[in-house]
Amino acid sequence: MRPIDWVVLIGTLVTIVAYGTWKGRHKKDLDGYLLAGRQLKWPTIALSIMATQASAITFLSTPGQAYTDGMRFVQFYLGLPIAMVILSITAVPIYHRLKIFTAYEYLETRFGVGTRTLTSLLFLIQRGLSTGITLYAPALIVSVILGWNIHVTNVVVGLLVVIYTASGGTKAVSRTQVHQLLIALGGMAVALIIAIHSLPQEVTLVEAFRVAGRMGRLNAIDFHFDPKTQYNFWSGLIGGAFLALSYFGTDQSQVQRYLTGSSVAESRLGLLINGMVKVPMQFFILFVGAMVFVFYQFVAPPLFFNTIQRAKVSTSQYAAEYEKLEAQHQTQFTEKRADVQRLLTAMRAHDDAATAIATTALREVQERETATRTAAASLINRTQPGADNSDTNYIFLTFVIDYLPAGVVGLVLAAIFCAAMSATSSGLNSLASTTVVDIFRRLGKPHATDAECVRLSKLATIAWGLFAIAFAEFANRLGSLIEAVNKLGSLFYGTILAIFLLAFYTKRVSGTAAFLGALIGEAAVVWCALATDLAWLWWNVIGCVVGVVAALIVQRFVPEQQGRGTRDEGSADGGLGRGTEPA
Amino acid sequence: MSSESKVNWPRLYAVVLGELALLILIFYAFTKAFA
Repeated sequence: MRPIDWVVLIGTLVTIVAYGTWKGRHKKDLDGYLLAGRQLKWPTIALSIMATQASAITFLSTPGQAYTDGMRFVQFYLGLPIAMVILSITAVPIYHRLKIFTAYEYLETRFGVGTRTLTSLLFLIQRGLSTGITLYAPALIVSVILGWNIHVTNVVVGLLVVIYTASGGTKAVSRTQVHQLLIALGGMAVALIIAIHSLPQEVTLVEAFRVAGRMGRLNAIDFHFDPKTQYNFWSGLIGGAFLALSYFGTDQSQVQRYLTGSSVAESRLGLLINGMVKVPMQFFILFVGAMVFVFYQFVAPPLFFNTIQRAKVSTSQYAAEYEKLEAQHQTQFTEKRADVQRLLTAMRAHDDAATAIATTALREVQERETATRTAAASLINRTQPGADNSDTNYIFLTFVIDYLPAGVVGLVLAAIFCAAMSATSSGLNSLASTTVVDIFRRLGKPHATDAECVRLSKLATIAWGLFAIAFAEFANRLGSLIEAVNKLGSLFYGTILAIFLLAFYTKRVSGTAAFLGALIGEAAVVWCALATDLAWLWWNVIGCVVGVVAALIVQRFVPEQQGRGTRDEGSADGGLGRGTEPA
Repeated sequence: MSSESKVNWPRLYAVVLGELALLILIFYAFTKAFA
């Protein structure tokens, strides 16, 4: 990092934190603190929704995914636009009419306090943990680049987010997210331009595409159905739609974004714009990774991208073995570069036979190179059992640090930090809302004043920030971070979605049946996770379907009078009992 | 686009889903073209 990089990085972060604190400086009631006074317009809502989902993990791990596995991860997002349309039609009008603070409040009007509390707790566990992972990503960057202690880094980054999130509430979060997302996308665009510009001069853009395609890195769509494959068209469209329905429809970190809308139309437009922009945006980020992959066909990549693990193995008893693998990797790279040149020459000459031969040779050497990388990872695992032996998260970062010019490194790092801060702030903000509204105000002190609740929301934001920092300590054992976050969510999302679907679309299912159905659905998901090879995107479908079917079956055996939930008259924001049917 | 009355919702939903279908086609063509 050169001085100009530091200026750009620190300047951006200080400006963002100061801007967020300034934007949220006015004294607020609970509605103002948790929902920005319900006054936001669709552009802010749309960008805030996108920024909440697009964390630093998205910008760090996704290009690495494309590098190691190609662009098929984009299929994960195919169900998202469908979910946005469904939610715009169903959930948004209901939430707006009820004037709720959290999605879980709605469940009490339908199923009673037990179901509301269960879903709130599931959310708090899942979001609390995943916010920790979200925080870990940028801490990882700084610890690798600067050799800082990762524990200290986690605390510093976490505290920066807590400052403006606790002081300014939702308004500060949403307003800063607009700028954070634009900075993040700008940084990625600059990285892409430089990656393409850094290719050898004689290689055209189309040729770069062809090299990436021949080496399996532009595999955006795969219609082959296999329940054990993580990413194909069907798992993305069906499993992804269930995941997106649950994430955007029932996860408070997202629901809170569009509850800030000044009308149903503003909230709907925010969701629908997200539905239109998200898939191309993910394609773009994956494409950056594919171009970094092409770049490393002409410039030798390290055998293992995690410099810390590399240093550790080099000083261990396996040092000689690792050195041998490095030499082997270098030979394979030289061989591969020659094959790439042969492929380009054959393609330029329109010689199909020579192109086919060069492609086969290239794929064969690539397989050997992958085997060498796997052997290196296994060696690292032997050196340090339990250590992170996946370098997916470090690939893009290594490229940025090693090959981007002064100033741009600072910009890309600022982009990654901005993304981390925006997703973390949404997470903390929603965790605080649920803690105060669904737990404290509902179960602890129903007559608490707005001032008390705002004060407690600030304290809850700080407390959840500390929890996230603590959990971040464990995140380095989770492999690809973007997968880890989504896998963690998929353990709970199907079940939570089942409860909401029962609430939205059934009139006779009681709170008891919904509660038991949810427990059975969750048990089914846990069984799938522990005892089967089923790809995790399908857990969302299993949890939802089993939860709904089990509740309908249980309902046949429970008394009818439990069909409506009750709510204490004395609850602080009473009046939720009105209009609980779908629009 | 800031008021409910100005938005034709069914048309907007169709646009979102139509864009998804178009993207899938483009991605498929992209996959095939460079494989």
